[in-house]
Amino acid sequence: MSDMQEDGAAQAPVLAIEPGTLPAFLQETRALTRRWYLQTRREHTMITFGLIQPLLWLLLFGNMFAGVARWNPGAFGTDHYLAFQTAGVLALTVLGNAMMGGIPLLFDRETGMLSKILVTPSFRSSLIVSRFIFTSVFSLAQGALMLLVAYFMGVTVAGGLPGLLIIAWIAFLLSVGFTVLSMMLAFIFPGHAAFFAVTAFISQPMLFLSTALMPQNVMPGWMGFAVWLNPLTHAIEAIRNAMLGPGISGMLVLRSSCLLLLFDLFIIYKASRIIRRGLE
Amino acid sequence: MTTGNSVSGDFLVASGLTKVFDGGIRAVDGVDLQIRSGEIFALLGPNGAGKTTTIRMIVTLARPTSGTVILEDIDVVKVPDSARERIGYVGQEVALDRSLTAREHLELQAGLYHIPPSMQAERIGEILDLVELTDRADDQVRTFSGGMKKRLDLACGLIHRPRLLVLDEPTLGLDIQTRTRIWQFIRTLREQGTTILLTTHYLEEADQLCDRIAIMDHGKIQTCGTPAELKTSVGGDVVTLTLVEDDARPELEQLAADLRGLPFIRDVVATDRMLIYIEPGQDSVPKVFKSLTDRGVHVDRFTYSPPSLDDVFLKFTGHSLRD
Ligand SMILES: Nc1ncnc2c1ncn2[C@@H]1O[C@H](COP(=O)(O)OP(=O)(O)OP(=O)(O)O)[C@@H](O)[C@H]1O
Ligand SMILES: [Mg+2]
Repeated sequence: MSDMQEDGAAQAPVLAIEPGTLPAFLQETRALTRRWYLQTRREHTMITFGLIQPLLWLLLFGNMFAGVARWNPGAFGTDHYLAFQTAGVLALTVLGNAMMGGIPLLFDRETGMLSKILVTPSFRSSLIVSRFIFTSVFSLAQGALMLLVAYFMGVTVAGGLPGLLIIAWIAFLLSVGFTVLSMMLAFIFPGHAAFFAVTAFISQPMLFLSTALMPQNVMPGWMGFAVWLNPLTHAIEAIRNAMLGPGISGMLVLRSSCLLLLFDLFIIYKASRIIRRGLE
Repeated sequence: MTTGNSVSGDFLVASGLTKVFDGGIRAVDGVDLQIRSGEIFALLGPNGAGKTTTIRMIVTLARPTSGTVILEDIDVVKVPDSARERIGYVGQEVALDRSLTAREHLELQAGLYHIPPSMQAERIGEILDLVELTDRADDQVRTFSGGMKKRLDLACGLIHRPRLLVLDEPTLGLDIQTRTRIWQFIRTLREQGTTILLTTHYLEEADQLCDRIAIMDHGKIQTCGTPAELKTSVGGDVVTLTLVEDDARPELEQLAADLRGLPFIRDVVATDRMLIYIEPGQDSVPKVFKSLTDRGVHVDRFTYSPPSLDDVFLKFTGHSLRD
């Protein structure tokens, strides 16, 4: 019967997309994600620096501390500092991208673009989801590039394909929590100056109170608890295990996954009311 | 008030609309509006009157503290998504993404308003034509002039062919030429059956281009009607006087109170000038002058005119919109 109708119609009727349905959600999310992509593609400086910065980390710190690992390979788990540090820089990059996840919302609030989006009959969640998709894909591309560069500098992923999958999974868990945190901050502060001050204030100690650059057993003991509390540490440890081996430790991956998941849920719990109110 | 008795003919009805902000500011205080299908309706008022806040509640961007908004058969506050499909909104300030092109803005809007992909190109082409941006469609907004941005901003509110178009200060800060153009778009849209609610500061615009006007001040609708009705409500013609500064002359307020008692004078408003609303008739003007002379008041300059919307404004709000 439906065939007959289609044949009978002179022009194929255009299927309306009902708001509040899955196709509508997909259409909105696609349109918004495309916007983030176009926006970023045209911000050449952001792309350039976003890509160069982690490479600088690898090159500068990688060479600066090259000797350290050779003196004490036991603590580092390798005598190749660059291999040790790649895991840290990967996690830092993911963290950095996630912490920037809320910035477009912040500016949209200031320019009124947010109102323009909120008067449409679209899901509020498509805005949030589109930021996730964009941030995750951006991090993934950046991470892949870093691993490629590291490869040419003699660093391979010891865990092979499963190792790569674990890296992607852990990076995703890390990304979720901090993207939500960033979006929450974008709705808390009245303007962008406060936002940038606070995200910098959060990011700096997270870097130094983690095992990104140094293993925990060469740090002073009092730092231990702070380092353990830091979600970044758990992401780095699992990624590092996948990169350096020896062998993938299922226990470690499970522990890191659970702790990161716990952190994500905590942030989502804290943020959802604030974000929902911001999107009313 | 000319509310009419055609309740069924009302397209949008706001009742008792009130917004109290966190600080306790009553930005909108019991606003009632009836907007009819197919008309251009203007909210006119000074800065801070509550126009934007009223509009933001109507377009679902702000939740009313109390009151209701009904659009046709939809409760806007309770079912915002159904209302959003029918409303197009263009805010007071241009809201665009500098790094996107005009076309990309419309594509984003089309996605958010669920225009089927197969229809998008055609629809976007039409709208770009309407706002005359076709030749700049693929340029980034950062290269646009203020007027072009305003036109694109307007275009963004049209993509889903809204039944109600809500424009907050559509011509603010634009040159005469661009203002005229924007008004042409607005009229074209009205001819196509769109109902339009807008706010403006420009009295001439409201006077010439709107079907009905509501004057708003201090969060309240002071009066509402067609421009002609409002002017008639002022009554008679207006004599505007600037008085000679003179120690002997009575205080303006006192003089105004005194003059109000005279039979050929309907009302007197004293600010820096003195506005005297007189009964229609041949001899009212000479009588005004005679009574002023009798009271030892000397007139420096005067104008005599039928009432303007500014006179209406002055009468209902106690101050001029021009000041
Ligand atoms: N988010 C807010 N929080 C607190 N007060 C607000 C807020 N928005 C507006 N107000 C106050 O509400 C009142 C009305 O503001 P509104 O913007 O509605 O006026 P308006 O008539 O649009 O003025 P204008 O002609 O300047 O645009 C003002 O006193 C303003 O300070
Ligand atoms: Mg306003």
